[in-house]
Amino acid sequence: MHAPDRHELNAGWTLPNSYGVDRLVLLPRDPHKLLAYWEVTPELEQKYEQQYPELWTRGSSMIKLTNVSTAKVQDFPINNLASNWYLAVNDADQRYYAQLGRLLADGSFVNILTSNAVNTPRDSISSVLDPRWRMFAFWQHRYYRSMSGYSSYELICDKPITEGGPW
Amino acid sequence: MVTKGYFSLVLHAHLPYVRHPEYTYSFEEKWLFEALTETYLPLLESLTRLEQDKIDYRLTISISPTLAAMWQDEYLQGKYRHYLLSLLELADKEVKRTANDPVFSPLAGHYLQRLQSAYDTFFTTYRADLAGAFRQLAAGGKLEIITCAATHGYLPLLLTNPEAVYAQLFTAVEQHTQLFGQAPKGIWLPECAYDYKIDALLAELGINYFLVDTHGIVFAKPRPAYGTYSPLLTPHGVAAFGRDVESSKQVWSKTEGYPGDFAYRDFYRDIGFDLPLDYIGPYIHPDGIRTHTGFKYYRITGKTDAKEPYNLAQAQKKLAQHAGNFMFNRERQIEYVAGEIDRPPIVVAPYDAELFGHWWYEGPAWLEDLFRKIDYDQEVFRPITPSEYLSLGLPLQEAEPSSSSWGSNGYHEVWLNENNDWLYRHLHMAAERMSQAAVDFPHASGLQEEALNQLARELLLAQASDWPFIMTTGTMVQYAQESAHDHLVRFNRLWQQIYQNKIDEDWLRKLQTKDNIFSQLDFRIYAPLQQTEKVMASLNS
Repeated sequence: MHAPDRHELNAGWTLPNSYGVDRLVLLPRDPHKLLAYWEVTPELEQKYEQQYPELWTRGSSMIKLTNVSTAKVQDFPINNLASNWYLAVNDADQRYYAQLGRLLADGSFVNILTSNAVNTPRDSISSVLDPRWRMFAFWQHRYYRSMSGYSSYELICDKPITEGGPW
Repeated sequence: MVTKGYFSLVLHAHLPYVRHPEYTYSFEEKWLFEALTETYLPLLESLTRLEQDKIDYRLTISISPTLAAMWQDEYLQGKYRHYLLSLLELADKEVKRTANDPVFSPLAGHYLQRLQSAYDTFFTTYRADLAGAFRQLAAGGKLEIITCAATHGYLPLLLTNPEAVYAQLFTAVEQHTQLFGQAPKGIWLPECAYDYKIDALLAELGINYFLVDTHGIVFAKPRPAYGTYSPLLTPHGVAAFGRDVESSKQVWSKTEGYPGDFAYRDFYRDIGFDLPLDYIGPYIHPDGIRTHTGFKYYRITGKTDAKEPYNLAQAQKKLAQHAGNFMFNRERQIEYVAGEIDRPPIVVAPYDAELFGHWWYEGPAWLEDLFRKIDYDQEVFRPITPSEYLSLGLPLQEAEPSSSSWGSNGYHEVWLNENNDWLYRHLHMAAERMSQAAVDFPHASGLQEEALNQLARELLLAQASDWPFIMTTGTMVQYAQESAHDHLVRFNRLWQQIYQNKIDEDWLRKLQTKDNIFSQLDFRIYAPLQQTEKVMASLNS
């Protein structure tokens, strides 16, 4: 039986550049970095342009990252043409949400989209102790640094693999 | 002597869904065939011998749903038969070619015997039912089979749509229960990747435990009393076991690990690259692209290109030595730790299954020897499965593991970086649409229902962590990009047809034939989580 190839099954379709849905999504990458990606539909963009004539086009794109626990806000000026941005943060183990908006020429910030909230991973031994559990300290001194990395990838990554598979 | 502690060896067996009836030759299907011949079958043979010899071993193995589905797929079984027959033909030729060579002749004979045994075991002994073979072994109580997410989705980066994570887990549990005869007690989270709240979904599906990398436990909050030497109980009541650093390093590390020993077989030297094309041609890629054949005659030798011949007896001696060394180190480690804490510690040693046999040729034999030695030669510790450790009834500290993975640098960056970040906006949109479709078409039937189920299949297949992983590591990138892309565009087109009520039946049938995984899948599992109880009830009734 004829088995259709990928082109036949894809029927000429490719991935769209946009979905016509306004959204800002925040993903935690590691204790010190998050990724925000977004889509702003032309309709929404237009709405703001009309609301802030002139000021809007002269303004610049910005992401405001709010640390929910400390209420501190970090500003990230971003390229007007970008649709995603890596956000570097200092403190691990925090809860964040992002706002995508425009910094207007008069210095005010207009929020267009608000993201989901995420928690960043931890990068150190917790200072929170549970009094119900006796702490056995002997193992702790070894782990002050992250101990990861002995993965299959580490084992094989010094050699080119032509067809070894994804292990 | 009283047992001072426990040792739990966990293997994770996984390959992405690579099934290509459209090609007579597929590099990716060859991943499966090589892993079958070099890892899964030798492992089964080793475990069967341990069982026959009444060795008190314990092994936990996670069999990913995509891998299990490929094992049971008739089309791939047929192609595997073809693959083995071709290699058996090559083995015959190799035996003849090396007949007068006292060094290489025994190796050619060895490969002939190994391939014959793979063929007989797979097709005669197990009747092409590898899941059944594992199920039968597990019935003896010494092998524990656990599951993994349906298509090895990288769960922390799918959590933007909790329904998508739930569906990955639900589908895995469903397939596992059907193939292995009982619901899985534990799960291997793909890439050991954990993020907060995943434990709630595990708890909902009745899963008792999962594994995380060392720092997942070490950085838990509150601070863990025992480090990785005891599991923690997560906020939703699931046990989390942490990888032991010492035992991992001894096997994984490329500088200190056993697999790099000079006596072991070299992976890279292969007659597929070494012998003239007119001889090896029929056994490599039909376009003449040289590939591995599995006939490897040299040992690692050292940091040199001047490799020396592989010596089976020497390698056997070495692996016995390494098994002894590994056991000795665990004895000392467990003895020491037991003296420091107020409970018998557990040392959890998780590895990729394919390391054993495929990368480290002597791996399965090492494993078998290790369990024999543990049973006969020492009394400091006993092998155990995570489930058994939990049933010792020791109180577990409640703490939340850190979000983490076992990938390079320990978090999510291997699966989220400049090489693969484009993927997530599509995956998340598809997941959102899938979930909405479950709301919009709860009573779908006939062709519409079939289309919705296929929609879910395409989403699951697009979510495999293998695609972003390969995009990062840089080998076979095009294949990974195409795989993710193809499932997503099929999703998008089918989604449009469903909502426009214009389902192209002929095309749908082709998709069903090609992307044919999880025949029992019901798209309704994507219903928003607050509705899942209702969905579950309707599924069960």
